[in-house]
Amino acid sequence: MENLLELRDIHAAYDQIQVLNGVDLAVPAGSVFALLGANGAGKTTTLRVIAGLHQPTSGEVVVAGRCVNGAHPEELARRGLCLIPEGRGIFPNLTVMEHLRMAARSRLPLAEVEAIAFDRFPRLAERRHQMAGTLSGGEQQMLAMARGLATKPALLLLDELSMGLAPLVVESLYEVVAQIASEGVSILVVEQIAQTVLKVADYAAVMVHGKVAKVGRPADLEGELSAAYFGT
Amino acid sequence: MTVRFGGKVAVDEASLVAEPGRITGLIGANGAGKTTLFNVVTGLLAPDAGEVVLDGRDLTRLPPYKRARLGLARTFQRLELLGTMTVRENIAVAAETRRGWARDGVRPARVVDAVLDRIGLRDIADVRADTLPTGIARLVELARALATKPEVLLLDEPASGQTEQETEKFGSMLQVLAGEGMTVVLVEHDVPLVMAICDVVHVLDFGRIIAVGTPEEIRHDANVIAAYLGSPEQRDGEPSGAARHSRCL
Amino acid sequence: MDKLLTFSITGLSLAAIYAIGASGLVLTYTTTGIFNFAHGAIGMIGAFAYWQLRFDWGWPAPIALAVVLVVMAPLFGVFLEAVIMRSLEGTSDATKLVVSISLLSGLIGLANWIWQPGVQRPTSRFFQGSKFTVFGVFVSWHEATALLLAVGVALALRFLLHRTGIGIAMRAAVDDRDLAMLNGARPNRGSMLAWALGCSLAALSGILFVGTLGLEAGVLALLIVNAYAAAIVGRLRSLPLTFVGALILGLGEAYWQGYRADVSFLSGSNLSTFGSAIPVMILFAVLLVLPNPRLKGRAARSREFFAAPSRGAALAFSGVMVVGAYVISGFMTRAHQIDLAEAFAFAIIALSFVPLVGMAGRVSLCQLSFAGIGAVTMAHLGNENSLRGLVAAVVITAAVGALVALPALRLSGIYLALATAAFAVALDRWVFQLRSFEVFGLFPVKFFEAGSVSVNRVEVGGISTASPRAQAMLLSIVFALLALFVTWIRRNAFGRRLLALKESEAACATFGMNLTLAKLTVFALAAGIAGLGGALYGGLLQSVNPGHFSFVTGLPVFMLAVVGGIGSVGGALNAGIGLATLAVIPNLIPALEKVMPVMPGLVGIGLGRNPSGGVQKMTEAFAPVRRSPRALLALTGALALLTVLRSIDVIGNWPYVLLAMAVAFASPLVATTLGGRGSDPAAGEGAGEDGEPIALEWVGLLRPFTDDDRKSMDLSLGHSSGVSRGTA
Repeated sequence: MENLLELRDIHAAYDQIQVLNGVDLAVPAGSVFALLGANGAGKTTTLRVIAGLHQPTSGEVVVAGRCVNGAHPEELARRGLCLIPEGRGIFPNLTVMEHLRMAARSRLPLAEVEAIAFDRFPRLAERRHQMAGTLSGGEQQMLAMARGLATKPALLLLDELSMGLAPLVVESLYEVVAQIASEGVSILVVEQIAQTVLKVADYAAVMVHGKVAKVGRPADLEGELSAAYFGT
Repeated sequence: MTVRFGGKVAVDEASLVAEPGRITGLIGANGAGKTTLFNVVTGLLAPDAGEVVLDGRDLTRLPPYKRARLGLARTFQRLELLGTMTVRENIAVAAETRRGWARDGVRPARVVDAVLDRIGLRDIADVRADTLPTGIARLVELARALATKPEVLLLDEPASGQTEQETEKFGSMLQVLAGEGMTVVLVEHDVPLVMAICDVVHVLDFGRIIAVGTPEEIRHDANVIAAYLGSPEQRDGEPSGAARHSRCL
Repeated sequence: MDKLLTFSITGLSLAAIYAIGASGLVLTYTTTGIFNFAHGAIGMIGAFAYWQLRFDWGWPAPIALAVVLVVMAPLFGVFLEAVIMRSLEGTSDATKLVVSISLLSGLIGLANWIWQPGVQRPTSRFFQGSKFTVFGVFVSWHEATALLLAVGVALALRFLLHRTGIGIAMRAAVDDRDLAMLNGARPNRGSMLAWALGCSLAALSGILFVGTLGLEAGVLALLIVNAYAAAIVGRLRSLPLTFVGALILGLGEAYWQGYRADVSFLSGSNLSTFGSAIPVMILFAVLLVLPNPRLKGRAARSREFFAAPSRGAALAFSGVMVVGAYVISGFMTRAHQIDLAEAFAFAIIALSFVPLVGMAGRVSLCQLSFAGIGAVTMAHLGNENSLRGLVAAVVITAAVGALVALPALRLSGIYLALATAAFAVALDRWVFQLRSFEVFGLFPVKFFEAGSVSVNRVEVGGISTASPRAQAMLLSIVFALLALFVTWIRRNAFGRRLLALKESEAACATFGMNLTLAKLTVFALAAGIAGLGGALYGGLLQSVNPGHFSFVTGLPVFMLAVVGGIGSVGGALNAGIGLATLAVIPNLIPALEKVMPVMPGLVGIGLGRNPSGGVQKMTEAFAPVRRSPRALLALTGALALLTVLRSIDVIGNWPYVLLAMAVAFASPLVATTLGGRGSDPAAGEGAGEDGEPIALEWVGLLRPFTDDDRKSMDLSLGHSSGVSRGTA
């Protein structure tokens, strides 16, 4: 299968602190790829580099065969790359409908965006005039995903989808992730808590100290995780 | 102890006891409420319920600076160094402030020198703080906290941004401090560090303490493994702790 | 009943004008994060532009309105956004504040330049002030228009922000700018639209004041400042609450004017001017009752940095200054001696910014008002014993400073700036206009006695300072001593505590600092310094009135201090000299007279590029001189020679000043030539004929190029291949 996203020897730093020390990663088109690791391993930075929010000091980011180093985040967004950042990624003072209008601005008619969002998350339809800040955590995450989907992305980047959410909610969100992937969208998920995502992931990688320590099918990785987290 | 932000519970009835001469660790995933707990203890945030007690004295209603004068000192996850001042000035300002309230006649300059030597910052004493890499900056924050001669030292993520060697050195420094009778509370993402140096570990999840024990006990605690790696029952679709988590939806 | 209705309608139309002005302010603030202090001044310019088109050139009202509101104001907004405001992204709050305050002051200067103040400008209200009756009460069409426009603005903004794509994107960018960009929104377009609309709304509110009030730049600019109170009620975020705030303001003011005379205890003459101070009182009150912000950790990292000067440098600075003042004042006419003294007086007042703003990071816009209090104290208590007057001036202003600081302790950034501005304007409009009164029959309180008061000059131990030169010397010595005092603070524990306070309040609290006490102390200290400066300034002028100490007069002092570098005593001196220069230049070059008031504004706007201030830059530039004893000697010698030439009248005053400046500016170059840059590895590349190393860039000027020079130059530029080609 062709790789939609490839990272080649990415190095990145904040000020003097080296965060990424040569990340290599390949996300095949149409797959769910889980990027795991303890806090501080560099997962979020990797996503920020891909989305164009942080410039790597060296290495290449290749999306659909084209090197996109230095591309502006807006441009990447318009080209089908969608990052849903850690901590929901919603605008607390905008209503659900206004979020969808934001999404509709660049590409699709509003009606189509609504259809995409409300078919996938009927609960959002009930809350359409509510301020996003007053939604529950799970609903906020649904809204963030709905807004991302409404841009019809080719590649969806999810940062800590499960953060602060109850396991049941996480589970149902990951069911949606699996559905989305089955429709041909490639998904790169960053998670600290591994179990749920491994059920839906096609591939997984474990990051340790700014490097990808191990890549493989989820089943191959389960034994590695405890070591990565607890240092045994 | 309970803290709420706009209806969401950040810390829910968490209790934590730290004993003198020991390193008490506090771990938990992102957003579990660790920093919130520290903010409550140091008085930067008021709890909705519960109390903060030091040596049998209730601190809950005291402003932050009075708590500091009673022996609480802390570092910050996001670093609150005095950036335009030198390392020496960073430590000096704490030591001088201390002279104002401690009234024990200890000269600030002597405290500063002692702390500089102890933490090994003598060589960079006249460097501006905002030019330091994070790993060193964490040492400066520790030094500044020590300059108030605290009884209780609260450390918020001291290992993040440090190299492995720095972390190791930092860990042994904490062990020495605890050995001298200081109460050390360590909030940390770096679980291996916590497991290596702590005497007691608390695990915080969804604002609650889900496990307390020695590192060895924690390593094998089913709740902890479930919180970090997901529980085996969940895989079969069985709700685990549903009552606890349902309020989040 | 009719009376109630009449005043309600007046109040409502006033509220409408405030609401229009305030909503523009809220719009720009929420979408760009810049609190535009100049909003009122932009409205004022809009009003003048309208007057020009409508009344001076006689255009029909609708066309004049359309040109101002739809073409000129939005274009000005876009210009502001693109040229000034966009580059402020990522700078500290203080820098943003100074830039917009500079804009305020610059625009007032600009208006006074284009439209000469004091000239009668015939205006009329909309529809020539014609009226209609509602329930038996006359309502002017002008008032009705204002009301309708406010409703229209409210509906239009509501539609824009909630129903259009760009409006929603603007609100999204308010919540989270990065995230909005990730969603493909372009926040820059939103900012530009916000500035365009903001300026248009400011202009509209300014135009609505035309016809009800005379056209005077300062007054008009500050009238719209009243609207800021409404914006603060809306917490700078909520437009509906802003409209509520405007209602409170408008009705409050109208009812006060309407009913004050009916209530016996309110009809005293000291309350007659209170009405105009109501909006700023409300502003002050609202700022104080805003929910308490949590102790914030690091906000935007400030780029400003001020090094602690060494004791020797401070002593040398003070000594050179006093000696310099003595020498120079000897050549001056009496008028110029007074200018020099005035420069030092302003420098003393500006010095009060150094501990407060430079070290503790708390912006105060009422330091000149404190100086006013100092001058008044001196006027009333310094008659018999001038020293007693000075001490009283310091003590009383310090006490007032602490008193003002007490409620404002938890404020910082723009909120503190606004609160202190409100205090200053309240003094201008009300307190300084008061006649003397007794507090509970215990002691009398006197201000300017509704005019001007005379202030005695200082007399110390029988030494009179009545002559202008003695005044210049007195003020220079006081400034030098205070400069030493402030430098001493910067170097001691209290100074470190203030710097720490600016860097991180949270950290300070957790190592046991009593923040309240530290803030109160620095406020009192700064007020005391300003009070002393004011007392001496009063003595210099001998007769002072409220205009000398008004809010608007204080703005250039603040800006020039910031531009000079508010963390250093040099910055304060810069402010004094700058203001005196601005006063002197028009005498020399009359053509520049009108440009001068605009200058501080322009200088302040340029600040964004160098937030540490000009003095810091100059100190760096002079570093080679200080390191080279030979250069220092040469500099002193050259200046001494010039001074001798001047004193035996070989050269006149102006050649003397110009030559002295030329020598000073040339000295760093001379110093580098003399080999002051020994530590720089590039400097030692080529040796001069006398064996002294010569900096690379001076080779060729001081001695001919050699092949070795070319080689080393290529090496230092990284052209190693060039070297081999050259030699091959």
